[in-house]
Amino acid sequence: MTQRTDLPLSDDSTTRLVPWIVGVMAYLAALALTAALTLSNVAREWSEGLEGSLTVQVPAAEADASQTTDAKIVAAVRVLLKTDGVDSARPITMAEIGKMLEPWLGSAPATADLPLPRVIDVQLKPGAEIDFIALAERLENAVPGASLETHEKWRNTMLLLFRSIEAVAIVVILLIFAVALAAIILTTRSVLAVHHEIVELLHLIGAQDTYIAEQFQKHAFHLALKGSVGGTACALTTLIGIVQLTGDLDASLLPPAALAYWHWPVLALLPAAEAYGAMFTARLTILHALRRMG
Amino acid sequence: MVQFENVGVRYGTGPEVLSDITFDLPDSSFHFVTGPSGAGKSSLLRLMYLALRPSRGLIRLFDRNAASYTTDELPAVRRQIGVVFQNFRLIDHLSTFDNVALPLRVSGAAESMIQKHVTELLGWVGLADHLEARPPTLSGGQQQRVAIARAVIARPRLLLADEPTGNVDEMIAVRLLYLFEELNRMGTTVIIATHNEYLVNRFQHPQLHLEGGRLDTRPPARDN
Repeated sequence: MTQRTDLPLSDDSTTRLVPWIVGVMAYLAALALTAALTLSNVAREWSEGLEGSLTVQVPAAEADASQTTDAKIVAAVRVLLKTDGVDSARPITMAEIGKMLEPWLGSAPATADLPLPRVIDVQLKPGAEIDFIALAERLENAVPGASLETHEKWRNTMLLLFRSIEAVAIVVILLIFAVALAAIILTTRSVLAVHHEIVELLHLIGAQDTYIAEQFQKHAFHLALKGSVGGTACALTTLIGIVQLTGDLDASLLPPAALAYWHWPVLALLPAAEAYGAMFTARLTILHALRRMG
Repeated sequence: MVQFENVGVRYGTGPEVLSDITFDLPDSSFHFVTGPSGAGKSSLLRLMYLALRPSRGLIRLFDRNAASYTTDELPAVRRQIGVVFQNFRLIDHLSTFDNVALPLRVSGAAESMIQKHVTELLGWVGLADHLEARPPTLSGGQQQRVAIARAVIARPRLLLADEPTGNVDEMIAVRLLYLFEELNRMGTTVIIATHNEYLVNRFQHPQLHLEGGRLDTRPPARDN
């Protein structure tokens, strides 16, 4: 005997658009999920990178000043290395500063003559407790105009921004799922209305609600799986394209916005999650409707 | 098996189509439901297979108040009832075999048992060559035999048939009545709504005669 279902669901024109609707939703959900995962990754890496470090900015010396810029740096490094809890203090070279400013000021030789402030990258020992106000005063005494940047305020602002965008992405994913499930509910109800007579017949010959619901849920599962596999595949193709396009960009300000290795299986699991979501939604919709039919 | 006490049925706010119906059908009995068109024969059968609730009165089915069956209990109760619908109600996209197998499948029977019983029964009703045929390709008489086969395949305790011989010739009608009698001898309670006076006279069974929405219990035809 060939595989059969009591309800002619596969011939039903009312369900023809379901894979397309689910496909578009899966595409958007995959992109939103990627955005959420990537931002989470960036925020974590960036936060970890800034933790346990601080920056000291030393103003460039005036032409007639008694202390040269290099002497100021040496004095500042000396103060820093004498401070308990400081692990290292490395002055950033002019070449490195020039490279950092290249996107804005052009090639390195052009920045050589500019009175740019110098920067000292300071790494702290793990768990170090430093009185930053006292350290700032000692630096000011040794090198007038030197300032201490603990990154705290900036880091908190940026983290808040990342977390906010991440939360928006999660809300978008939930909204996409809600719309997809609403589409499944509406379609399932209309399919039930179309096949009302067969459903009533099945009831009269003793079919349990679960027997009838199984036929609807299997159909919903296959339709949603078809759509979500297609949508997610398109999304992955888009992401691979974006990764390749941005791969060569040398953005030094923030860590690279890349997916972690475990993000790819999470994305690959999206179609199954969407198909099972559609299946359970169809089942609950049908069971609810059948219970009302009696 | 089936008891009605002062049962009345009305659709919406219209007049009662069945009034003060009272009878008691014992286990393994065989009855014809007779009466002119519009007398309420189909409504009476619908009450018995729990597709219709009475407006008043009490129906006892399988020794229990029918109104007391919960939604969860209804499938098991309905599996004990075989119904031959007047308009057959076959599922067009399913083969003859699958239509007849339906009651066994919904009750979770093994596929090997389904194959054996359905093939045997379809052979008995003369449809062995039409196992894979879809209902729309069958004649009215063939569809009626499929509907009857579906009603009896699960050996129901109660068999309700609404004009089961309306589309078949006399020879097939008699053959089908023998099938119903055979089931009756095996313990099935049989109730057949029919216009066919020939069958009512030939097969000697008591009648539930409906006229103007009221029921009159009559003895087998030869005793009239």
